[in-house]
Amino acid sequence: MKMLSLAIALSTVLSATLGANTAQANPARDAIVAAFAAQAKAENPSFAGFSAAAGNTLFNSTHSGGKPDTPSCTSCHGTTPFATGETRAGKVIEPMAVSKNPGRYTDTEKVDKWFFRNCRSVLGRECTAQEKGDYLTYMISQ
Amino acid sequence: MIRFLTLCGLLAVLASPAMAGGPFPPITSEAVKTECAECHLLYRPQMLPAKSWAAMMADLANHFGEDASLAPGTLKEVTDYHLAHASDVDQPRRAKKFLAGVDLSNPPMKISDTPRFIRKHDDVPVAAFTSKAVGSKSRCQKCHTKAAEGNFEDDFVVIPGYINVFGVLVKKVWE
Ligand code: HEC
Ligand code: HEC
Ligand code: HEC
Repeated sequence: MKMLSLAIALSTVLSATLGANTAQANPARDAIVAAFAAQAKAENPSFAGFSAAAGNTLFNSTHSGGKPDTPSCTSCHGTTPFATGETRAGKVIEPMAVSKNPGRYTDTEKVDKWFFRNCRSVLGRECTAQEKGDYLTYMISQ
Repeated sequence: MIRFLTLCGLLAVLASPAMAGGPFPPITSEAVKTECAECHLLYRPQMLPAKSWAAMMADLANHFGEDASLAPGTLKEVTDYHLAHASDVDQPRRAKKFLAGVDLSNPPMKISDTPRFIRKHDDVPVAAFTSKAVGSKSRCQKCHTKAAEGNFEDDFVVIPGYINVFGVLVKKVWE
């Protein structure tokens, strides 16, 4: 039973990544998503794959619990994944959508560092592996 | 004649940029160059005393309203570099100038709060800092066109929306 649900989880992840692969394949990025999937599975046995819709909600919603100046991911990133954003100190942030910016999410250390900082700034806590995977799946689909 | 030549040589040395201050020395730590330029201009370690940098690096998770925390190894490298090149540690005159007037028992956390910054900008209207084109005092590069290279010489200063008429700043009302 356990084996089966793992297989389902893996195939969901695989199909999600493969689906995206047709648009923008990148081994480093795929490995990052796969690592979050393994972690999400470990954190939650009923993990059922990542959802671009949930990633969209995470990115676009106004949250509470974080730092007052940054209630949303879009406080700094552009209001859409295709738009440029600006840090609070005035530096331009290139778009987050993979189709707009193919170099995105290909360096594990960079991805980990910014999820750690930005989730704490916006949500007041670290993001779960599920949330990180949802976010990446959304940006890969954009 | 020899004496005259020596005098000329001396004058040339005195007038050279090195003596006048010149640009800040290049930052040689790759970690500092990447980690401290992600959100803003790469500020110069020589502009604040060691005590300010130590306090800032000890609380990067609450960095001017933002989380700028670093992994332990990187944090150590970035901290050591700032402490070694702080205004009360580094040798060049540029560092000494930024140290002048600083109260070391209660040092500023911002370069824009140092006595040198305040003195050098007391002619600049507040509105020139808060304008849409600049935004805040922290955005040095909006006026100091070579700030990214560590050059803050007055020859390279342009305030967006203002012109300098014989030393007097005039707002461009036609813009
Ligand atoms: C306070 C400003 C700010 C907020 C708020 C913010 N970010 Fe970021 N984010 C940045 C900056 C600056 C970078 C690094 C610059 C770059 O990669 O272009 C970055 C980078 C990232 C990266 C790494 C990108 C890569 O190429 O690897 C991810 C992932 C990320 N942000 C996710 C988020 C998520 C999710 C949220 C909301 C929970 C969020 N950010 C909110 C400023 C912010
Ligand atoms: C996550 C984004 C972020 C990172 C990374 C970051 N900073 Fe900042 N920093 C800010 C913000 C936001 C401000 C406030 C700017 C303002 O008030 O306009 C600031 C302000 C400063 C100031 C004060 C500027 C002034 O007005 O004098 C200094 C000095 C500074 N940072 C140094 C550093 C150093 C050194 C590092 C590298 C360890 C660093 N910062 C990394 C976001 C960041
Ligand atoms: C609104 C525009 C503006 C901003 C922003 C700004 N400056 Fe300046 N700065 C000036 C002007 C104007 C002068 C005076 C030039 C002159 O004397 O002719 C000046 C002078 C200086 C000088 C003295 C230069 C010399 O050769 O004597 C230093 C050092 C300096 N600024 C550092 C900074 C730093 C560091 C920052 C960011 C923390 C900053 N400035 C932000 C406009 C600005």
